[in-house]
Amino acid sequence: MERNGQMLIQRIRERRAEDFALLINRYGPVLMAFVGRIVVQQEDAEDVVQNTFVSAYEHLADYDSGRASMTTWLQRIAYHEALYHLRRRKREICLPIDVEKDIPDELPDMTTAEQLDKAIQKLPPEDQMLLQLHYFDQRPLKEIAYITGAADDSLNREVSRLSSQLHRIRQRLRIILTRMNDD
Amino acid sequence: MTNDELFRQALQRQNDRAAEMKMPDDMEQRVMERIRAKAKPRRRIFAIAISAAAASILLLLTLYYNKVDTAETPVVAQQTEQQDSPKTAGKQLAMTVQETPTETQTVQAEPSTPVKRHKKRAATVRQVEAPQTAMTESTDEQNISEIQEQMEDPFLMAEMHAQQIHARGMRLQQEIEQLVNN
Repeated sequence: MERNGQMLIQRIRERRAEDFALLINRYGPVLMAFVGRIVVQQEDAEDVVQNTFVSAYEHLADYDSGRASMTTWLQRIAYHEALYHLRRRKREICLPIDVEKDIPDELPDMTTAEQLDKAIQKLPPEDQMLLQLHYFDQRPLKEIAYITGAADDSLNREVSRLSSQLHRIRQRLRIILTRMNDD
Repeated sequence: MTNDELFRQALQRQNDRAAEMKMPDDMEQRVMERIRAKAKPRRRIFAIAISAAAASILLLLTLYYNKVDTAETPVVAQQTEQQDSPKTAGKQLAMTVQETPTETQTVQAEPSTPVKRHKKRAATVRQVEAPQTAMTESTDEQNISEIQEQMEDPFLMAEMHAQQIHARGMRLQQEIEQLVNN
């Protein structure tokens, strides 16, 4: 799929805009599932995926196949589009939880998947996506850093930031789950 | 169960919900429409920029040629300044033309007759374009009187100027066409 994606991108770069439709059909479902992890409404997810493709078309010249696969590049755009969309709509208002340094980052004993799922939904969308990419997709931190990082961020700096961010997320989840158990 | 497995199970639920979202059939069409719609204003801006550049070039050329023409015809300009206004065109005027440094001649000008002047237009234009040369080289009195007559007639002078402006306009138009073609 990725090799075909390379050929497709080459053809689109040669100003064959109609080939871009093939790219939409090929990567659209993947992006819908990706965006659907943090954007709950179907219409919102559609908007985000649309914006992603339009932005991808405009920045096609910036795509570097040596840095990332086509899917990862599109997911990077989709990730930032989704966060922008959520911030604009202001649907996800998550109050930050103060975390003390000495709190352990392990989940409380006897935590179930259902409880953890509910706790994860209380996290900001950036944190939810980070957990997805790290625990579910099991992607290396460098690849996650490519997706979540800003254009001018250094990859190593972003990896370091993500590593400490994962630690803080686990601490927050521990606090949320403890509060849920107390209630 | 390890924390990683627990995370995977919990996140699986989120992924199951995300998997229910299907890409709409018209997604491709909607995206392509948006791409085309975005491309249109850019083309319009490009066209406006080209038009503005062309207009600027035209303006610069016009200003440049006006300046050159003014510099090229100082004698004509002087002679036109000396002429009377159209209100006194019918009157008989006397004009002194210096033929040699020591000799002057007074010529009695005739009342203006536009029909007659038209017949001599070609010669007039030629002579007025370089009147100084014609006056120094030719000693023929008839020629001098003809030139004087033409210079005295403001209508004829205006006509000649109009011709010159027209010729300049044509020249400008050709140059602009050449520029546009290039």
